[in-house]
Amino acid sequence: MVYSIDEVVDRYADHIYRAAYAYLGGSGDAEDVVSDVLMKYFSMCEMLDIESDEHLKAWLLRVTINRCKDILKSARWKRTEVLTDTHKADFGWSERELDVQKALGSLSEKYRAVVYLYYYEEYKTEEIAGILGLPKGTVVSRLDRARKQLRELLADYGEEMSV
Amino acid sequence: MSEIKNSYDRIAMNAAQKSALKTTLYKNFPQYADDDKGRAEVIIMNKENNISVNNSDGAKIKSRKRAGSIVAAAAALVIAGSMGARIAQVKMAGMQDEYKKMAESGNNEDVLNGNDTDEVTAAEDVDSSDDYNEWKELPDPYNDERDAQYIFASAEMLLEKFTEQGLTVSTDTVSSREVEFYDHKYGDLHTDFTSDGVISSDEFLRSLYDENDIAASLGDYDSYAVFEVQFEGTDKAEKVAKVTVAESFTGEMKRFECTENPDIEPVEVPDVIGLTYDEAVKKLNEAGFENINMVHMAGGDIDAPYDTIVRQSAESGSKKLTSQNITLFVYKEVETVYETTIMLPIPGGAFGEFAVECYQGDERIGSFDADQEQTIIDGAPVLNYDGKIDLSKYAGSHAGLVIKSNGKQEITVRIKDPEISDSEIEYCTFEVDFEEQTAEMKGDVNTDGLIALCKKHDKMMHSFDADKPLIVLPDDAAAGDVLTAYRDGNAEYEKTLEDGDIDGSDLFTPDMQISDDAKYTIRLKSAETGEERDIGELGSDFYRSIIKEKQIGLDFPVSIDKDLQDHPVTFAAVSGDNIISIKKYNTLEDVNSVVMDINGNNEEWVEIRVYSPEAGTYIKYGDFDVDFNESVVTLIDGLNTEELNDMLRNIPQVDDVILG
Repeated sequence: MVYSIDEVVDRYADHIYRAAYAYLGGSGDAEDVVSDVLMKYFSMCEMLDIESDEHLKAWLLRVTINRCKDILKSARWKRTEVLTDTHKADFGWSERELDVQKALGSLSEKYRAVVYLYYYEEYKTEEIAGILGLPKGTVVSRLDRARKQLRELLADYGEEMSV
Repeated sequence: MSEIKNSYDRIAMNAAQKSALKTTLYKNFPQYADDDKGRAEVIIMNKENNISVNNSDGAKIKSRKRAGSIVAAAAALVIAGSMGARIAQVKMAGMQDEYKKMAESGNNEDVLNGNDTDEVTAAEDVDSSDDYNEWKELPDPYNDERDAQYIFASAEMLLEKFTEQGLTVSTDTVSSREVEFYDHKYGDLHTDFTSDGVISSDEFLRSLYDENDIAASLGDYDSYAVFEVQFEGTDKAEKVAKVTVAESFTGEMKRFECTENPDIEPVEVPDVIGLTYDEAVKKLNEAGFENINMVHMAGGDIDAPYDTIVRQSAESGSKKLTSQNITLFVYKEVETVYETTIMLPIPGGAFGEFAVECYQGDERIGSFDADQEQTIIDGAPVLNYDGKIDLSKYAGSHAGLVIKSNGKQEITVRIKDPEISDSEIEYCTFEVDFEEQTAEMKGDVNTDGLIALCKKHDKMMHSFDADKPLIVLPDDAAAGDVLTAYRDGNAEYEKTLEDGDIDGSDLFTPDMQISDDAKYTIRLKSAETGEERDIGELGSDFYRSIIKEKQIGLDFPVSIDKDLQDHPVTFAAVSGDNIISIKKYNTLEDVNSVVMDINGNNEEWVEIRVYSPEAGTYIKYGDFDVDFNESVVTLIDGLNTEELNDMLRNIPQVDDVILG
């Protein structure tokens, strides 16, 4: 199954962008990741045996995260500013949502990926394991640790925000 | 949870961003555009190889240090764009060709054939997402290995384009800081790559886009550096191209600035297709190319005579620098080769550095170096590098030798001192079944030859601790007697016997250094009478080594009458003329069995003797057939328990002497 550019961009660009944004802890590089990943997809889409929309989405997310890993390894990334308040205006976050994003951004990337896929994309832990190439147990433990860290980071919100 | 979801929900690309993205995709992949949107311009190459790239409507291709083929190719376009016009045109044309090739076939094939592709799989207990469960394995283009291939291909193209233009990579590091250089292939981080360091062409190519590439390493501290490449197989850095690597973090692009080197003229590559490898090498050498590699190609669909060149990495007629590596692809069936390890016994006490090599017929299929130990198998280090092995490290044990071949082969192990001619000996032979991973030693181990070799090269002197001379003292030896070893009439060792030396056994091991090829006359001077007499001779046979291929605990029962258990005895295990193990007892009270650790090789006949210092004699207690390979010990004809008891019973008693 091969999709047109419009279909792919309209359906999945935001997912890729969000995943990249989540994994990279917030940065302008997320847009470049979308470009890279979709260029990659169309360069090889006829060789891929995509079976469904969900299949494609999972593939794109996995590729996105691997691309993000590459970026995080690069020296250039280390010089990049992450998550500034300017995004507040970009995305219309409330103070509270910004705090949540800051908390998410302060997690290590391995936790960020799991949290994003679980809470936003609503994948099951088994599916996350498949996408990230991790054992299910690792996904579960990362999710658990991420929750604990988020609880601590967002302790000021107390009962209002359950993680 | 909803807070998290909500906050993520707001993260999205805006319409302008999506529009720019689509435009980029339309340009590069018009075939996937919807019908009404497929008219976007793509990168165009005209007859003169000029390339036009229309970015005015927001098409965006960015350079990245490490990315897939597309990004790398795009980076090359950016690089090319920064060069002089003539160079840029050629580069861009080449890159575009390669870019198209990669996008359409070649690298995609690599991707699909990748071995370590992550697989999207569902756990067994997933109770939903049926589609997910049934998804097929798909390649992951950001897999490290494939990335490396892309990177390499792109970087190689880049350098090829440089060299076609007579450009070079120069060497001065125009910075104040050392450059960290990461070797992707071997995982080494080279931290001392300075202006006077060298870098192989392979390393350079990889470095261009590697995650820890030159530019990235420079990035934190330096604005730019210039490198010179010393190609593999050459002994000095050549100015084959000059490239200034620069990275601007304020911008988005990596930039390579090149200058021409007028000193180097590329040479036309001859056509070697259809020639044999030797003929091809000769022809390339005549043209000036010296760095030539060979790759075997196999398969039924090759339409070429067997054993001939079917492809050459550098196209004939193209101009290359002579320092360029050229790979020749030879049609040859590739035999499956199996790797196995043989365990080589090393004599106890051996030392000295020797080359150990394995031969299959006249072909050397392995050689080994003790300093390059890789793994340990069954306690023995496995060696698989060229060089010399220090036998002392393995004395009394084994060295594992990794060899590669196929089928059943007779493998001969040869040992030599590479620094001395005619020193090679055939040490032993194995019958190796490479597919079954079995190795059986055939015939004897040439211990004598090795010892002679060691002695010849003065390597083995004083080394056989396990085989120090063993002297049987005469019955009347007593504390205070002086034992002297004479060599050529000169006393080289002298020892006044003490109670401990003669207590419990008439066997005495002098702590003396024995020189090779020397013969010693052993004399004993009585403290009581002052008389000195010969008691034996020591020669090189005394320290002849025993192959300690295997150690076995030789366990046998002892039954001594209770009234005889107070006598000291010594058990000796004797193989041939060698005493291979000794166990002393001052009393045999509560001793029901004796365990002696013996070392030996293959199958040996071991005789157990029991010495009684009081009786001044010994009896043969029993014979054993010992199969060291199978760890099987067979007692022959039973144990002489009665004879042992008789010997102890007949020890002259003090009272008897007085009464007598």
